[in-house]
Amino acid sequence: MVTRRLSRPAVLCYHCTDLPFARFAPLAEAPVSMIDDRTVTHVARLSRLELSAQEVAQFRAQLREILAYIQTLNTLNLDGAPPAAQARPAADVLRDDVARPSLDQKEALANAPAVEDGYFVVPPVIAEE
Amino acid sequence: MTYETVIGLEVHVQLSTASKMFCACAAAFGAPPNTLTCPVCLGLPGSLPVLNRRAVELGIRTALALECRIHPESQFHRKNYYYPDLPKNYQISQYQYLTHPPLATGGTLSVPSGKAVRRVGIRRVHLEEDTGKLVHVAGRSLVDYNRAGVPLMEVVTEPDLRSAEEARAFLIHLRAVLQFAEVTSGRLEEGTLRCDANLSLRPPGGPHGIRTEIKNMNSLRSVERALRFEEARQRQLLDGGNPVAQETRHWDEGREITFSSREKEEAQDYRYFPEPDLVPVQIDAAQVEGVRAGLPELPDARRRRYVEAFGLPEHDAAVLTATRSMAEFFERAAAVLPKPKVVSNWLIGDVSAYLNAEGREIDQVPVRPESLAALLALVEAGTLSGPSAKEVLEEMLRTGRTAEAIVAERGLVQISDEAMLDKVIQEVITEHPGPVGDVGAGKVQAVTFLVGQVMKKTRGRANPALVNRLIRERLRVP
Amino acid sequence: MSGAAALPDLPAWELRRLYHRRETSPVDVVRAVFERIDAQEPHLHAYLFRDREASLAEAARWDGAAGGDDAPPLAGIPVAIKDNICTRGWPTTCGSRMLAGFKPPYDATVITRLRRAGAIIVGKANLDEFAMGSSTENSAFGPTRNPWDPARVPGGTSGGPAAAVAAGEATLALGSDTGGSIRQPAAFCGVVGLKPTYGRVSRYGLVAFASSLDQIGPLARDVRDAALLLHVIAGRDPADSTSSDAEVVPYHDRLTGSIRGMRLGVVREFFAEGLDPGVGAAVRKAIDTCRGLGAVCEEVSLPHASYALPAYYIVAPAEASSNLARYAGVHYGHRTAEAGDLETLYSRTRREGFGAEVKRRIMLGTYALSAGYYEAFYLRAQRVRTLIRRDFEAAFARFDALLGPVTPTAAFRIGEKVDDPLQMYLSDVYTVPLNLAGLPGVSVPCGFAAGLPVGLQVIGRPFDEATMLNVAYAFEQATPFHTMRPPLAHPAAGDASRGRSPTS
Repeated sequence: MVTRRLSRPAVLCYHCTDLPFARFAPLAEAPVSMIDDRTVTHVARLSRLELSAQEVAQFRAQLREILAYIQTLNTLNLDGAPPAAQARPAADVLRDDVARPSLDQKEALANAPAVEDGYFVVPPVIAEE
Repeated sequence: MTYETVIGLEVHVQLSTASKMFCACAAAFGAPPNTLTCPVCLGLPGSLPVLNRRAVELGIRTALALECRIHPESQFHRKNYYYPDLPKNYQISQYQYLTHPPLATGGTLSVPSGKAVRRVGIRRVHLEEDTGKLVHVAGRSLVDYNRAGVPLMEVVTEPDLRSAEEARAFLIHLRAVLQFAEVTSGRLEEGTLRCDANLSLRPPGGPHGIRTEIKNMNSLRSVERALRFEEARQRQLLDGGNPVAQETRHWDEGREITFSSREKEEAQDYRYFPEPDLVPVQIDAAQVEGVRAGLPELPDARRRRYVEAFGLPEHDAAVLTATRSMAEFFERAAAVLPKPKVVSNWLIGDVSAYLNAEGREIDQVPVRPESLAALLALVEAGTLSGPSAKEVLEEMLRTGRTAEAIVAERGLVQISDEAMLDKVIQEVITEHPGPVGDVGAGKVQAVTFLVGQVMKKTRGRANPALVNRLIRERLRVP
Repeated sequence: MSGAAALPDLPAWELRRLYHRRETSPVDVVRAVFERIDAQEPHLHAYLFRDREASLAEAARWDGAAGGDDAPPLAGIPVAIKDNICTRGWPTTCGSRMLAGFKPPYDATVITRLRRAGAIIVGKANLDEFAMGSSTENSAFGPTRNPWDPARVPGGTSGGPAAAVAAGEATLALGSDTGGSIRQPAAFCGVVGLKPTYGRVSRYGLVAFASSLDQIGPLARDVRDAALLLHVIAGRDPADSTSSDAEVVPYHDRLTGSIRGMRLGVVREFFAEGLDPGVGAAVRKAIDTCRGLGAVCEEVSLPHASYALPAYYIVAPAEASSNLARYAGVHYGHRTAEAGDLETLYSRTRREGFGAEVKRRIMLGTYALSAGYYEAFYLRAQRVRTLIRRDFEAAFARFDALLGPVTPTAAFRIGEKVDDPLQMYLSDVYTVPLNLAGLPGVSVPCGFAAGLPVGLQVIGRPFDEATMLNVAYAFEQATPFHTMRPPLAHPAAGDASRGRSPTS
C-alpha cells in the first residue's frame, strides 16, 4: 500500500481565506437578475448536484421566484440589530477529556456502500503532478 | 534586483488529549482502521459535536505561551468542502470574520537567533478537528476515520519571517515551546506537528508580492529546502519579468521541487458560517489565571535556569532545551550524576549524533537517564575509558541494556592497575626507541604517541590519563 | 368510550388508568393498534416501517409492570416516531431514497428516554424528505393521506405522525418542527402538536435539517397527553450542546384549566390578507371562548412578522445545505452504481438520492452562503431574527401567552401546491416566526372549516411551556373538539363505527 499525504483543496477564495492579503468585496444586494443558468450551474457544482439542462432551467426559474420574494428583506432597516445570538442554553457545555469505547469496526462499516479490509472504499483521489 | 523574502507559516498541532475534539473516542494512533469512531466523528445522521474541555485548556496554554490576547468569547465555524476524509463534508474550525474572533490573536514568539532574538508575530491561534486518513491503492482510495475529529490547534504567524533558515528556527522554537507547555508531542515526522507556508517576494520596503502556498513539507529539513526552492523559483520568474501565480504548490521530497497541483481554476468557496450546533466558547479571566498558574516551565525560562543553576554555557543550554524530551532527560540524568557539564557534553555530542543519524528523539530510544548517568559515573570513576564509553553508549542506545551489563560482558573495565600498566608501558618503551628518544630530546608530543600505543596494546582499556602520567614519570618528563 | 374497539382511540392518560385498574394491558392495546394499522395503512400510508413482533414483545415486557404503582409514565403506551429520528437497528430513512435501508447504530436521546419511560414504539412514520415541505408529498415513498379526507394532505413535514395519532394508529407520536412541521400537520389532522422552546428537547439523534431551528415535539390527541410526553423527553442532554438546563416541570400536573385573569395577546399580523375566512372564523371563535373563560384577550402587534418567512427561507436552506453535505455516497446511504471518479460519485449519488424540493433548498442555501453573498443573505436574515425576537419580547412584556391561527388554510388537496414551491412555503407564515425566535408553540383543535380541522396556535414565553399548555388545556376542556375523531373509512374487524361527524 502506498500512503501519500493528500493536498487539501486550494484556498483561493478571496473572502473566505485567512491569508493575510485577502480583499473582501461584499455585495450590498444580490440582484435577482444575476440568477442565470451559469449561476445555477455554479451553485449546483458547489452543492455536488448533477443537473440536466432541463433541471437547470427549471431551478433557475424557481430560484428566481423565491429569491425575489426574499428580496423584501432588503427594505428593512437593520440598524442596531446584531445577528441573533446563539442560544446560551446550559451552564456547562464542555465535555471532560475522558476516552470512552467507540463503535466496533463492524458497526462503523455496517451502512457502508463499499468496504475493504476495514476501510471505506472510494474512487481514487489523486493529486496531479 | 534584490528582493526581500516574506514568509508566513500555518502550523497545525495535534493536541495531547485522551479523547477527540467533539466526541469521546480515544485520540490514539496505530489502531486498526475505523475502530476509533462513533456517530459523531463519523458524521452519522443526527449526531452532534460536544467540545473537549481539555482542548480549550491547551489552547489557552498555547495562547499564554505565545503572549496572545485571549478572547472571552469565541465561536466555531463550519468550513464547507467535499473530500472523502471529511465525514460531514465540512470541518468544524474557527474562522476570523467580522465579529467572530477565534480563540486568541495578536501574540509574539521570540526566536533565539544567534545572540539576537527575532520577534515573530502570531496572528491567531484557533481550534479545529482533524480529518481522517486516505490510503491510495491501485484504482481506488481507502478511508480510515480513526483520526477524524482528533483535536487540532492551528497557529498562524504574521508574514514576519525573512528566510528559510528563519522559518526553520521558528518551527524548532515553536515546537519546543509547545512541547514544554505539554500541549503536544509535536513531531513533524509523525504528523503531530504539520506546517504549511506562504511565501512571496517584494522589493525591500515595497508592497507585498503575490504569494504561493506551499504544502506537504514533512520534516524540518523539507521546510527549509522547500522554502529555499520556492524563493529561488519566484526570484527567477520575477527577474525574467514573469508574474508569480497565486496558487498552491506541493513539495516533492524526491524531486526536491515544488509543483503546482492542477487544481480547478475556480476558487474554493468554503461558505463559512457560525457552527449552530456549538455555543460560543466562554473563557473568563479566572480561568486564564488558573491555566497560567499551572503552566509548565517554558523553554526560555528553562534555558536561563540551566545557565544559572547548572552553570552551563548559553549554547549548551539552548541545545538541551530544543526539545522537551531532551531537557527532561538531561535533568533526570544530572539528578543522578551531579556533573551537569559532563552530562551535557555527552548528550550534545555522542547521544545527539546518534539520534540525528537515526532520525529519532531521545524518548524514542531505549536508554533511560539513570542508565546514562550510571555510564558516565563509570567514566568519572576511571573504571571506563572515554573511547570505551562511546562503544558502550552506542550499544546502550540501540539495545537499552545497562552500561554495567555491557561492560562486564565485553570486559571493558578500564585498567587502572599501575603495576599492570607499568608492564605494558615497559613493552612499548622497548618497542619504540625512536619516540622515546624524541621525548628525551624535548618533543613532548611523542608522549601522546606512546600513550596511543599503550591504548592499542590494551585494546583501549587502559586509563589514558593514568598512562600518560606513568609514561611521563618513567621518562622523567617534567 | 370503552370496550376493545376504542383502545386505539383512547388518550395515554386514560390507558394508564386502565392499566392501573387491570382493565386492559399493553399487549391488548398494541394488538388493537396493529389491527387498526393493518386496516388503515393501505389507504393512509402513515408508516414507513413497523415490526409487529418486536413491538408486541416489548409490550409483553411491560405487560405486568405497566399497571404497577411505580410504573414509569409511558409504560405500555404505543408511540409512532417520525422517520428522521434515529432508532437503533431500525431503518431511519428521513423519507428519502438517500437513506433507504440506513440503520443507525444508535438511538436518539428522545428514544432512549421513551424506552426508559416504558413506551412501545410501533413504527417509523412518514414525512417530507429530510423534513423539507409542508404536506408529506415530498416523501420518496409516497404521500400520507389526511384521515379526515383521503384526497387531502395531512400536512407536513410530520404528516405521518399526525395522521397516525388522528387515526388511532398510535396513541402518541414524536415529530419534528423547523418551520411549523409539527403544528401545521396537527392542525390539518385535528390533533394536538407542540413545538418546544428551542433547546428544551435534545436534538441528538434527530437528523438535522436546520440546526438553529429544529426541535422534536409531541403529537397527541389531547393537551394532557402532549404535556405528559413533553415531560418525558424534555431536559438537558450532554450530547447536545444546544440543549438547555432550564428546569423541567411536570407539565401534565400543572394543568389547572383556569385562565381567569390571564392576559392573552392576539397577533394582529396573523389575521391579515391570506387567511382563509373559514379558518379565521374558527380561530376568532376560539379566542372568544378564551374570553369567556375569563382571560383578557387583546390585540398585539409583531411588526416584523411579515419578514419572518423570507428570513426563514434563507436561514433554513443555508443550514440545510451544510447539514446535507454528508450525504454523498462515501460511508453510508445511497451510492450511485457507476462512479469511476470522485466528483461523479458525489454529484450523481446526490442527484439520484435527493428529491426536487431537497435539491432546491440545498441550492438556495448554498447560494445564500456563497462568496459575496454571506452578508447579503445569511447574516442579514440572522439580523432580522433579532428584530423578530424583540417583537415577541415586547409582546410578552404585556401578555402571558399569544394566540393566532396555525395555518392560513385547512388541509389542501394532494397535488394542489406541489408544483409551486413558493405557494407551499407560504403556508408556514404563522409558524416560522416561533422557530426563528426559539419560542414554544402548540396547535390545539379549535373547530372546522368546510368539514376540515382547524388549529388554534398558542405561543408561550421561552421555557414557559407550562403556561402555554395550560391555556391550551383550558380552551380544550371548554370545547368538544378533542373528543372528535375522523370517521374511519376502513374500520378493522374490532372497530365500532366511531367518531362524530365534524360540525362545519
